[in-house]
Amino acid sequence: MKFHFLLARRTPDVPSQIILDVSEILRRRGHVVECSIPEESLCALDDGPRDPDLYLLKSYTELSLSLAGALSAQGANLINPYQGCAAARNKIVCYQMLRQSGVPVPRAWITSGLSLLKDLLKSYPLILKPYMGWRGEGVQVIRRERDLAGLQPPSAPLLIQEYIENNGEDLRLYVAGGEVFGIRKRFSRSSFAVEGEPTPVSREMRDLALRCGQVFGLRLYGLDVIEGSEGPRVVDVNYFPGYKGVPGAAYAVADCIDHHGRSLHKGLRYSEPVEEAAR
Amino acid sequence: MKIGMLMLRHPPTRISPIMPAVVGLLKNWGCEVDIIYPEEKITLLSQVRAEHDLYILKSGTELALSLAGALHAVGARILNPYPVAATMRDKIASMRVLEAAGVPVPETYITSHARQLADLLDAGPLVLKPYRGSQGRGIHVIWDADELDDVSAEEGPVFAQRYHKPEGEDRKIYVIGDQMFGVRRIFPARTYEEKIGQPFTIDEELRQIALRCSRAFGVELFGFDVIVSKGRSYVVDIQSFPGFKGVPDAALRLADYVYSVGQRALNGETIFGMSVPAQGKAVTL
Amino acid sequence: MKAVVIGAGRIGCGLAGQLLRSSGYDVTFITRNPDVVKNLNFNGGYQVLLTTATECRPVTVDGIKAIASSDAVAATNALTQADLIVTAVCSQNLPAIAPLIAKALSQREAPANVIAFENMPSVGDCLRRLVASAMAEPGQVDKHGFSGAVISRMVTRRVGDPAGQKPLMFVGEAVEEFVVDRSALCAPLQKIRGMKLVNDYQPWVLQKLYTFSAGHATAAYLGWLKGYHYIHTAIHDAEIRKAVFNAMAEGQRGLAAKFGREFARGRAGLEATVARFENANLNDPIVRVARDPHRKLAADERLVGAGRLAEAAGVFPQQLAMVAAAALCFSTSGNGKPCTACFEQSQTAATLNEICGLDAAHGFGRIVAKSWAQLAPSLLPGNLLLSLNQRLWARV
Repeated sequence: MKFHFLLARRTPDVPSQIILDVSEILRRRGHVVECSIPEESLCALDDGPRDPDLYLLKSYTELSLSLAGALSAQGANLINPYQGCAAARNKIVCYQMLRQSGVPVPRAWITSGLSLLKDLLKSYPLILKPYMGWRGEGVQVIRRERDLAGLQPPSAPLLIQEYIENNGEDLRLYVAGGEVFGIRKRFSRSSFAVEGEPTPVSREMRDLALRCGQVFGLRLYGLDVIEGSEGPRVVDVNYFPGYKGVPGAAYAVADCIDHHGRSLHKGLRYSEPVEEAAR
Repeated sequence: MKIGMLMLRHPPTRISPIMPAVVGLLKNWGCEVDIIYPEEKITLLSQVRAEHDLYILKSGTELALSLAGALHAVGARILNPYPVAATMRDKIASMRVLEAAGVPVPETYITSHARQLADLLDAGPLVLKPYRGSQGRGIHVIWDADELDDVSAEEGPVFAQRYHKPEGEDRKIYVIGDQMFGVRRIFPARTYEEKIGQPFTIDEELRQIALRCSRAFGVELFGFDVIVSKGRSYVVDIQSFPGFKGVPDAALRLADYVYSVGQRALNGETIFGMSVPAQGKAVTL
Repeated sequence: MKAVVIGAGRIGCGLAGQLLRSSGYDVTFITRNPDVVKNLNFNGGYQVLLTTATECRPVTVDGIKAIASSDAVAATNALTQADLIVTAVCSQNLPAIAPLIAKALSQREAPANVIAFENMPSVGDCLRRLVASAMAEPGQVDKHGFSGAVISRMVTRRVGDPAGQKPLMFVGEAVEEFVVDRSALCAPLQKIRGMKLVNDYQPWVLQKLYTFSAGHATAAYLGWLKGYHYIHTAIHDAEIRKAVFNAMAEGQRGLAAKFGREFARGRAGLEATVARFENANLNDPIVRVARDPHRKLAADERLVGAGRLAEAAGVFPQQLAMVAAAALCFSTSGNGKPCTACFEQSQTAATLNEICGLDAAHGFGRIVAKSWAQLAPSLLPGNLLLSLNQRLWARV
C-alpha cells in the first residue's frame, strides 16, 4: 500500500519525530511511504488518477487544507476526512460542533472587535484565540479592561473563551484509532513545543476524547482539556497532532493508519474502534 | 416565516439595491426578516440557535462564514449551506470539485512561490488570483516570467490558471432554484450600465454546465463565470450568493425563491433535494 | 333552520359553512373523506383564518356535524330534513352527488332550495338537469329551487392533518359577499350573511369570470411562464401586473357593452382586485391557480369567453389571447417534452376548436393561435420567459 503524508515546512528543517517513526514502522511492514510539502510543490489540480491509497494531512496551513479538499473531491482517501479537518481547523465551528454534541466546553463568544469585550471582562477573565490560529499563535489571556489597550486590532475573527482558572496544568489527550493517551504539562506560550508528563487516562476522560473524535469523524487527533472547579472543559481539538511525549505513540498511529488502509484496500467498511468504544 | 440574513453593512455610497428590495418584498409578504451584522456584535456561542426558519448567508466575511458554521452545527437551515459556501470561498477546493464533476475548467495550479510557475509560462500566459479572493480583486494576467517577481509572497498561496483569451464579453450565469440566467458584461466595466450587463439566452452547453455545477455542490443558489475561448467554454470562478446584477427582476425572483424555500422549511420538507436536519440536531460536516 | 353542505373542502368549510353558521343555521357537512368526518365530529368544528394583505383574523366555526357520504341512510335523512342544501364539491364532481340529492328530494314533501357554490356559469341549471335525470320521475325536480352562487372569497388552503386530532383550519380572504339567483329559488331564504339576491344573475356570473377570474388566470399563467411560484410574487412583476390590468380591462369593456357600465366596475374595481392578488397571507401557489387549464379555457370561461365578449364589443382582446396561449402552453407542458413537439400547425386548429371552441382562422381564435405560435417554440422544459414585452427567454 502507498501512504502519502502532506507536511508543512518546519524550523528546524526536519520532519517531526512522529512522522519519522511512523514512516519507519510502515516501511518495515512493507508499505510505501512518501511525502510532500504543498507549499513547495507546484500542484496541478487536474492530474490523472491518484496512486496513493491513503493521504495523511499533517499540516495546518491553508494551502494544504485546500489541497486536501481538492483531493477529497477527486475521491482520494484521507485518514482524517477533509470536512472534519476543515471543521476542527475553524475554532468557531469546532467549538459549536463540540457544544452541540454535548461535549463540555467553556463559555465562548465570537467577534471581530476588541472594544466589544469591555463588558464581558467585568464578569470573566478571557482567553482570545484567532479563529484559524494554531500552535497557540496569537493566543492572549485578558483579565482587565486595561489589558485590551496593548492589543493590536485583530485581522481575523476571534474566538473568545472564558479563561478557566486551574492549577496551571493543561491536560492534553492524544487519540490514535481507539487508543487514548494523556499528557500533562504546564501552560505557557510555547507549551506546544514542550514535552509533558504522561498521565493515566480515566474512563471519563477516555469517553470524552473518543466523543470529540466522533463529532468530526477524526481518527488521529488531540484535544486540550482544562480541569476547572466545574469539571473538565474541552478548549481545543486538533487533527493529526505531534503526540509529543507519548510513549509508544508511533506504533498506535502506525497501526491506525495500517488498519484503515487495509480496510480501504479490501473494500471493506472499517469497523471503527472509536465507535465501538463509545457505544 | 422568520428569516435571518447574515449581511455586511455597505458604505452608503455603494449601490446595492437588490438585497434591500428582497428584504422589502419579504416583509411585505408578512415574513419577519432580521438582518444580522456579525461584525457589529459579540455573539455568545452557547446562545446561537436556530431561531429563524431559514437563514441566508449573504455576507462573505470570515466572521459571517464562521457564524454560519456555528448555526449549521446547531441544525439551522441555511439557504446556501455553510459547507458549500465555505468550499466555494476556497478556489482550490472548488475548482477541484468542479473538475471532478466534469465541468470544463482551465488547467489549474497552486503553489506558495510564484517563481515556480515560470516553466509553465512557456506554454502560454497564466491568470493569477488570490485564492480566497472575490469580485475580481487582485487578478493578474502574467505573460512573462519577470512579472512573477512582482507577485507578493506574503499573500498566501498563489492560485494560477491557464489564461484563455476570452472571445467577446464575459459571461456570468446565475442560478436561482431551477432557473438559470445569463448576463454578459464588458470586463472591466467602466460605467454602472456596463456593470449591470445585458441578459443573454443560455444555450444547451451552458445549461448542462450549470446543472453539473449545481449537482457537484448540491446547491441551487450560486453564480459562475464563463469565458469562451477558441469555441470552448471554461468555468473560471464560482460564487455562493453572488450579486445577481443584470438578472431581470432579480430582487423579485430572489424573494420568490427565498419565500418558497422558507415555506418548504416551515412544512418540514426537504430543501434543495437534501434532507433538512432536524431542529437542534448536530450535523456532521 | 337546517343547512346541509355537501363537500367539506375549502369552499364548503372556508366559506359556506362559516357564513351559514354565523347566520344562525344548524350546519351538517356531507363529505367523501372519512378522516375529515372524524376530525369535524371530534372537534365539533374548525377554524377559518380570514386574511387581508395586512391582517389575519381567526374565526372558530363550532356546533357543526359531519356525515360520511358512504353512510347513505344518514346522508339522505339529513338532506330530507334540510331547509337549505349547499354544494361545494367542484363542478366536475356534481354528477357524482346528483343521485344522492335526487333521492333525498324525491322523499320530501316540502320544496327545497339547492345552492351550488361552484365556480361555473349556469351551474344551477346544470345541477337541476343532473338531479332530474337521476330521479324516477324527472318532473319531481320542478318544485325545487336550484341556483349557483357567485363567490368572491378565495379560500386557498387547508392547514392541518384530517387524520389528526387538532381542528382543521381553512385560510381565505375576509370578503363575504356572494350572489344568488333569486329567480331560481323556490321559496324565500332566511338571510345568510354576505348573500346578495339578484334577479339578473347571469351578468354577475360573467362579471366575476371575465374580470376577477381572468385577472387571476393572467397572473397565474404568465407568472408560470416567468418562473414565479406565488400569485403574490407574480403580481409584483411590472409586466405581469400590467398584463393583469389589461386582461381585466378587456373583459370589462366586453361586459360594459353587453350589460351596461354598472357591471364594469371601472379602474377602481380593477385596483381593488389587484390588491387582493397581493395578499401573501393567502400563500397561493401559481400551480394551484393554473391547474385544470382545459376547463378554464372553455368557450364561455374566463379567458375565451371574456375574449369573445370583448371582440363582439369591437375590442381587440390581445392580452386575453396571450394569456389563453400561455394557458395552452401550460396544458401541453409537464410531459417532459418541449412544447414545440405538441405544437404543430396541423394540430393547432383542432386543439383550439376542441378545448376552446375557437376557429383558428378567424377573429379571437386567430389571435390566440398567433400568440400560441409565438410562445410554444421557446417553451423547452425548464425554460422561462424573462421579458414578455421583449420576448426574451432564459434559454435559446
